[in-house]
Amino acid sequence: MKFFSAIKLILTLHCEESTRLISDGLERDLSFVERTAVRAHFISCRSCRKFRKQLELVREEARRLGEGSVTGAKLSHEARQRIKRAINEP
Amino acid sequence: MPVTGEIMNQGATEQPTRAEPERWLAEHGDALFAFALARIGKPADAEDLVQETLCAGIRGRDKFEGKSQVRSWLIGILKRKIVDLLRQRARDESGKRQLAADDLFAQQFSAQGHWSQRQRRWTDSLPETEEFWQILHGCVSRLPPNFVAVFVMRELDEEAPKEICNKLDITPSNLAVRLHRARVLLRKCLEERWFS
Repeated sequence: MKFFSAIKLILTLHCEESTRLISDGLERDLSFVERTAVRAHFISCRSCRKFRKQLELVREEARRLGEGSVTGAKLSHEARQRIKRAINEP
Repeated sequence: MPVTGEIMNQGATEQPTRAEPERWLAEHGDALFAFALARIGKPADAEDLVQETLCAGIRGRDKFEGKSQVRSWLIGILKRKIVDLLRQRARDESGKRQLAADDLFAQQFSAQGHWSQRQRRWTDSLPETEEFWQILHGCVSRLPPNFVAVFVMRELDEEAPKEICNKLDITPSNLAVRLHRARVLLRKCLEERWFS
């Protein structure tokens, strides 16, 4: 039974499921069957190949965004004064 | 005021009891603000969080062991406040934005589960310009709060999936569904705003 569901996954994987597995692969190790299914799907689906590449790029850039410094955002003068008053309150 | 390496080092070795909150503001205010803004989107909310963080820092000054740098200690406080706010926003969400997002997600695929539009080719690296960061930032903030929370924790904070599930009180499969949808929508938004 398990064998047949594995074969079915490999033979019938469509893009929505494939993107789900590609996404999941960023959180956990995919099983052998899942990996095989995605690889087999990639052979015929350029869009999903691009999708994986795009997710990798987004992940890389999101991490840099997470460092915070890239946007060059600074506290406004008003906000700074307000915060200064707040921290000096007894 | 530019933060020089020298000032940073002084901050690191200074005794906690002598730490002056006003100097924290001068030295770390912008960094805390940028950190919060990248995750929270609204400048006014980010300012409030910086204020709350510094105030919490003052109250908790005795607990600061001086082992870590002042900045990373403050960032740690700020991170917890950000998660609280993201959770709060997800609770307050009426469901409208979530529905719209789920709709948009569904539109990305045909009834047979194929992409409804062919994917454009992106370049092999993304441009490192302020304009690009603003677009990425804008696309993240356009996601519904439930998706922002998981995306920020996973991709900006690089937290382990298990941690995120604990903090948001959701199952791993729920997390996987949210991240999948968030990523598909983000991809779509970036393609529309940056590549066309």
